[in-house]
Amino acid sequence: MLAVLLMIEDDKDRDKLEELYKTYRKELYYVAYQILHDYHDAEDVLQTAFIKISKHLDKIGEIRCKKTRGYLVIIVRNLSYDRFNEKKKAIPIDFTDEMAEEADNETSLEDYVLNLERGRELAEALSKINSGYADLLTLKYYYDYSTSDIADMVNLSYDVVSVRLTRARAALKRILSKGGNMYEEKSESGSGV
Amino acid sequence: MKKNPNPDREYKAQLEHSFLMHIGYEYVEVLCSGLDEVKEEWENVKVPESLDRWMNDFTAQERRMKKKRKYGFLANRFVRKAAVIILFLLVFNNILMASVDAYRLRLLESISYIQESFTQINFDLRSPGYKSSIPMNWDGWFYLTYIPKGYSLYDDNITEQSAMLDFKNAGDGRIILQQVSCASSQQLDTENSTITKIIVNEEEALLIEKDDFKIISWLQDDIALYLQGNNINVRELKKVAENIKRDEK
Repeated sequence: MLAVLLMIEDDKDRDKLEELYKTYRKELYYVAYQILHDYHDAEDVLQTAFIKISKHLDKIGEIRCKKTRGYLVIIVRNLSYDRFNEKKKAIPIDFTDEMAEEADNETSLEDYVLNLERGRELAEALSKINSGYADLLTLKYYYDYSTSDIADMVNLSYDVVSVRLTRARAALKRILSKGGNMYEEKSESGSGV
Repeated sequence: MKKNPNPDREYKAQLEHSFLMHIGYEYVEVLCSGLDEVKEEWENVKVPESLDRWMNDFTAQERRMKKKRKYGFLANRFVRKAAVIILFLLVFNNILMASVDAYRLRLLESISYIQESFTQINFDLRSPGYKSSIPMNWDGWFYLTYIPKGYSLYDDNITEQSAMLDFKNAGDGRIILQQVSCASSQQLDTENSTITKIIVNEEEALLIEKDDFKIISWLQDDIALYLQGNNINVRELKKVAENIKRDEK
């Protein structure tokens, strides 16, 4: 009986970062490799991701939950795209100014309320337009990170993150106003941010 | 409370924030669903051992840094507290020393009444002596029975409270005996002078030396006596003091 008790792991005693790594390392390594197609680069990205995550451990609640899982995947994915673009010296495609202007119309209160039930559909639509926009929006409004924290986590400048958040909101408003899905051709350089 | 000038705009902003938060929530659901669909693929992924080793080293380093920061913070707090305590002790110590000094000074003052450059002397009462060549109305006052060679009576003065005998010699030498009843008190100029306690006629006396002047002050009977001499040595002046007598009628 004593041996059994000793074998039981006490999650509270384990280091949070170690626990996160132990739980999600395979998944995250897979996500990084799918984008980079290089084992060493994927390893580097994971190391960078965990260094950045270690600075925000206080914001992470439960280890085994969708919220934490989603957060880790978003960080690794964005860092992977950043690494990919760096290597290929590619310039990521952004939402064009034209489309942003078109979507600049005020969204009514009814639009927000009536489209709540379409949340999943809207999220999917946004991720198809630009998954990077969806990532930034999620980090900002769901995980409640500041723009400067987001910039640090995804290796972008504050101004770039600000502009892309504005464009992400504009893209969402356009989806709402069009009442359907809006697609944009993904570039070969890799989507995301 | 300050009234919000644009309540509708604020409400809309809050609603937009909530809406976007909901979109974020749904997006995370979409992400997780997408990964669950390919679970078999990522479950069989082989993570490099070098990554595991790096992670072990990194977490160990983080733990050490955390401990260092914690101890640094505690040490900092301790040092600050210790500094406050030491400062308090120093201030308290200085106040105490000053107080002790002040107390000591007050005690001395109560015995000798030393105030700045003056020495005020008060006496208790004692018994009488004999007379020599002194004025006729010298009742009850003291007179000198020993005067150094060459000195003669130059002046005298008498009031209800005091009496004075002034002796001079051919040179600059002068001996003055002043005496006052203890009903009054005298102030002696003792600035830049040396004060020494001596015994005269078994009574405690003060010897005050200032430049060429010497004063012996003491109490005898109920009379305060001040014997002043210039160009005279202490031994001689003391001899004069020890040989004074009182005129008893």
